[in-house]
Amino acid sequence: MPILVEKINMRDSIGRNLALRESADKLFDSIDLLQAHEIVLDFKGVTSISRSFSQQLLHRMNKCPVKVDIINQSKDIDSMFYAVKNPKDKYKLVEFNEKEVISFSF
Amino acid sequence: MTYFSKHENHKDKIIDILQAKYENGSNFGGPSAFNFLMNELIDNIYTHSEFTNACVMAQQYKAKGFVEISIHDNGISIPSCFEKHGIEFSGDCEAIQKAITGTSTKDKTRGFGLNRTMKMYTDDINDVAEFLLISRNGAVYKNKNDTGKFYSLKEPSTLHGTLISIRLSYPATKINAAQYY
Repeated sequence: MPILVEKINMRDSIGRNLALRESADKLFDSIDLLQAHEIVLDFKGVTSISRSFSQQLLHRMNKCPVKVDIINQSKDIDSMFYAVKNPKDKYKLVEFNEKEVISFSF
Repeated sequence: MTYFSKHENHKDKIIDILQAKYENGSNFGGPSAFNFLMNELIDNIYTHSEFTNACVMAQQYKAKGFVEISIHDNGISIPSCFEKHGIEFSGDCEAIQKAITGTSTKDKTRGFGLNRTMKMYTDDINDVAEFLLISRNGAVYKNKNDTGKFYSLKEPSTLHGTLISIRLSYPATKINAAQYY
């Protein structure tokens, strides 16, 4: 039986900039309806990706019953995937001390 | 100003519009930093704020040597969002501190966007690097030379929604956002 591979161009399906977590969910909701044995997500032309989108994409890829591959992703997108899979500690930016809060009013 | 709404027909094209309007972020740390900032903040607005309208505004003060970019939504605010999800805090300033430190209403694997972008735009790369966040009755300000300050607001200074504003050198040194991912 031939293996049915469905290739999805991410730029055409969603856009050049993959920002919204919900967009990753919608993508995989439609992938779930496909009759493919294998999915290929083509990132050619995708300029940027948010952490939220990446996280949701990788999460849905892991849950997907069919094999999902990623191709043509930029180095920057690879960096984001790596960061999501290997999160560093969150930065400690501003210490909070209730006594040092400044009251402000116009 | 660029407006967008909850029921935007082309939500995934908002960043495209902003890139075109602000020359790929050339004056806001470069494309990498600009894309990262806008991607993270806009996703936060759609995911958490329950907003109806939001806008991105920018201004260049070339003679003064800096530019500013702000994003505002009319949503429920960070403290209200935390209240809805049972996250405890003593006052709105502490809620904001939790948000910038990466507390998420969802789970521990989330909450990086605001934390990372605030770090990116207050790091010691440009001479001017300032970050202001106002939400309901709390505000935080930090610049690269400062440990940061919290401000408590009262009506009529309460902000019903959330405002994030960044001030950056003009011209700015390009920022490589990937080191902050």
